[in-house]
Amino acid sequence: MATIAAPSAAPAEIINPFREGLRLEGATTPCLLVIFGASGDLTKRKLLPAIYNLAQASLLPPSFAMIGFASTQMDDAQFRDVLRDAVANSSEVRVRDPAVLAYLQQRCYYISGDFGDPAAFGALKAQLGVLDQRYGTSGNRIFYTATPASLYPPIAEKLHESALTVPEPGLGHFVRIIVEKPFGHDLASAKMLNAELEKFFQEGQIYRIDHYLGKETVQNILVLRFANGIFEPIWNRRYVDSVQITVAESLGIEDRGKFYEETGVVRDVIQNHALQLLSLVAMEPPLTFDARDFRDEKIRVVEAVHPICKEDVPNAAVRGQYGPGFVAGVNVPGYRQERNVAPDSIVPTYAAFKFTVDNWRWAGVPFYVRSGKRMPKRVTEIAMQFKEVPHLPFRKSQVEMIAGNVLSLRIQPDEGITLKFGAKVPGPVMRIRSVAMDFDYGATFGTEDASPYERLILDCMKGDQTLFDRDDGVEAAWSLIDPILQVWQEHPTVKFSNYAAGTWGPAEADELLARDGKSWRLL
Amino acid sequence: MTPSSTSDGAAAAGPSAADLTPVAVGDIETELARRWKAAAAEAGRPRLHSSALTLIACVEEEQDHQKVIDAVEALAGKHPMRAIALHAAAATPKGSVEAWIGAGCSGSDGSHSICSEEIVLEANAAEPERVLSAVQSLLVPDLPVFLWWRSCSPLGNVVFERLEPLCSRIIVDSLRFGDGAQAVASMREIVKRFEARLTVRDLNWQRTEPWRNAIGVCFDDPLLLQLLPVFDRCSVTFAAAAGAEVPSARSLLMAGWLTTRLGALRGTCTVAPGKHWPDIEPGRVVAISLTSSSSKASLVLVRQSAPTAIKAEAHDTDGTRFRSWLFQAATVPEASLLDRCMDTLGRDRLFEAAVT
Ligand SMILES: NC(=O)c1ccc[n+]([C@@H]2O[C@H](COP(=O)([O-])OP(=O)(O)OC[C@H]3O[C@@H](n4cnc5c(N)ncnc54)[C@H](OP(=O)(O)O)[C@@H]3O)[C@@H](O)[C@H]2O)c1
Repeated sequence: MATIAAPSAAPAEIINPFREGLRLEGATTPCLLVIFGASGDLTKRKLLPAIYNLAQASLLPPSFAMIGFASTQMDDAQFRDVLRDAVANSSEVRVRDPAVLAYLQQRCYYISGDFGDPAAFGALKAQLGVLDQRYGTSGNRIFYTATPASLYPPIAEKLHESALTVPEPGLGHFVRIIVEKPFGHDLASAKMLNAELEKFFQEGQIYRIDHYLGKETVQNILVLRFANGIFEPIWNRRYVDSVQITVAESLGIEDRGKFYEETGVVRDVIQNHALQLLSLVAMEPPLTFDARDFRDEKIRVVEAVHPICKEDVPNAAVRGQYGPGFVAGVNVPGYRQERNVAPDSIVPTYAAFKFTVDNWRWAGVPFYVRSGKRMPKRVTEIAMQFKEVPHLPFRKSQVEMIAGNVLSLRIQPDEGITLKFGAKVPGPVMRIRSVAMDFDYGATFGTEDASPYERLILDCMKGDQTLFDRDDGVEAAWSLIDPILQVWQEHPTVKFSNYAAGTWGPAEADELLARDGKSWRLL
Repeated sequence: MTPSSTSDGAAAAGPSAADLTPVAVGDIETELARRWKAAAAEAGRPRLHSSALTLIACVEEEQDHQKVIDAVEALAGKHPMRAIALHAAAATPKGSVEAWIGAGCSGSDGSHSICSEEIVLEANAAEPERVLSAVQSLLVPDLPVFLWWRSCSPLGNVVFERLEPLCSRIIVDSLRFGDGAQAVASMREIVKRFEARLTVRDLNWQRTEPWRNAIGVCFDDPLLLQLLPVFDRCSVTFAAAAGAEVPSARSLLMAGWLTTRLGALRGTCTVAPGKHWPDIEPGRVVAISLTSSSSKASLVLVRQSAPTAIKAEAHDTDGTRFRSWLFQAATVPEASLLDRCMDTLGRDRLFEAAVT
């Protein structure tokens, strides 16, 4: 290419005047995406289908290409076959269009090598340079770490050594890194991981994924709270009696015994997903939905959660592990009988906590959080239990179970909102019964949700960190969880298993609420 | 659509869609409610239907009802709505408004089907008060009303004048406005007249989107962006049938956008017919170029067929090509154009600037 003479009148920074107002504005800045761990499960099941869906919806920049990087020996053609198979096998792919697949395959490359090998990173750098020229991707890069978590720091370091962590001078606007969960194993390891990554990347370049935040229905919590005038005035201790957050799975651990033995329910679900839900439901309204304002408020409320200190653990935390039982009429083994699980494993598959939030809005309102495997059904919901009326003027009437109102936000499945309130049963006598008023997203908006990965990859391309975790947010969540895990570690329970598969958890979890005169919702 | 019968007997002559049932305007609400109840009983569970807006679609020809219904059903999942397709013509008998209803559901698993309510009205155009009273009685309370004017310029049309005060958005298609310069002048007048009160959208403007996107993306390239200050000329070429060389509204909108985005192009943008595009529907944009009076720098975009795409090439100051792109640019169906007109909130300042 001939050298381009810089026009004499050129201002230092020229803004592209043709971009403003385009539907793709800000959405699809040219870039190269590099997936570390391109032969792995996450890439095949989630990332490649998500990237294909983005291409199919014309949301990828025309100036785009991707490079897969892993140790498995493969050439470009074989990686393109991996892409084809991933698209063919994924239930998340909405429209299968051979033209879109061919388009994406043409932009798909592969490098095989070890993440510890500087030569492999040299090859990556050379390939990035070639593809920048070929596709006009302007030196913009996104690195996605779909690898075991232990490899995130060495990958960051190798990228740094290859001078790939900052945009090349005179070319490119951004280099970003998407980091998969788990983000640390405890507070100390999370801090260390943050420190390692921040040696080579600025916080503004790091995108820590919790795919829960990419779910449409999770974002709907924010819309419900902050775009509707009727809820916010009652969203506080004056009207709310308690909050229950449930993340229940009917599945067991499937084939992931090894993974689960190192993780358990608290690290797998509560430290991240359940606390995300708690923060969204309890946070103060942010000034704007900019990444900074939104994340400031989200983190502030996690910091306001009263720490469960070691002495309080027995009263505020319950752990469980499933034994054999029946789920949906099918006989299923207990956790200790699963493959790759120790026969005397003390890993919890169920946990329930009682949190309180020390601020004006929530003082005295308990937040009960539970999550478990092999529950009777798959359901994720947040239920706001409102206080009962101060005086009921229907004393002589037949009042059937007229408990306080409940507003439940269903995250999955059948996303929607239900408001439970008392209604008169038709007839000449005054009889009152609780009825549920249902709003079903699926029956109102029929478009299929984009997968969380689509949304989050797109946000990263846009440079929007709002739905990603920040370093202090991750550490705040671990600070809450760490003492509990430590107590449990120091006092291995002897009672496992303590709930049968297909039930709602151990009796101690019911007692946790019974002590406050409450009970778990029957879901 | 879900066929459903009423007690009123056989389908009367009228709109071609067999699934529509004739009904008196005053009975429409009752009949629609009855249908939802029946559907719920059939499904064995409450049938939820929500609406986000009322769409009044005014069509030119009687048979265009079906096109409106098809578009509404295609969009039901995203924009659950009540649609009123109105055909008000001089030839329709006076003295009454004929009505038909249907309820279209998409998604066949029963549990999650999305349903829209479709109403077809036939009336005489010389009785605008009668038309207004029928339409008014059918609006979903307290929701936005969009008026889709699927006809020639609405200015001066008495039915339009009655309906427009009900609406918060007017959607037109300047492709249907006739001669290009006249079409843009009408658009300009519509935008000016309503700018303080409601939003105006043009399906035809959405047709230029692939070109605008392509140019926007090309200039993301830092090398091309550096050349921006040297570009001071542009040309837009449209497909033209022999002898018909009046610039299309689409090509004029495109030129309007280019000159409002880059001040240096103002007064230098030519819009010319392209003779070598026999297979392309006349009026479509087929090529755009940005050039420089001081060098050989250029950005040239040309339409390609099979597959339909826009090919773009950038040349630097000595004329050397340094970048090329290929953008998908398949023809966008009317329902998708309508979707885009309904999707965005607020005024479309770029569009307004391009016409004014
Ligand atoms: N899978 C999921 O659904 C899921 C969900 C949420 C989060 N995650 C997280 O995502 C990450 C990836 O999970 P995964 O299930 O995809 O794991 P995986 O199937 O084990 O894949 C790991 C990938 O890393 C590559 N790799 C490992 N060590 C390497 C090395 N030294 N040099 C080069 N390549 C190396 C592997 O390449 P070869 O196989 O070619 O050696 C493979 O492509 C994990 O952190 C996991 O916690 C996964």
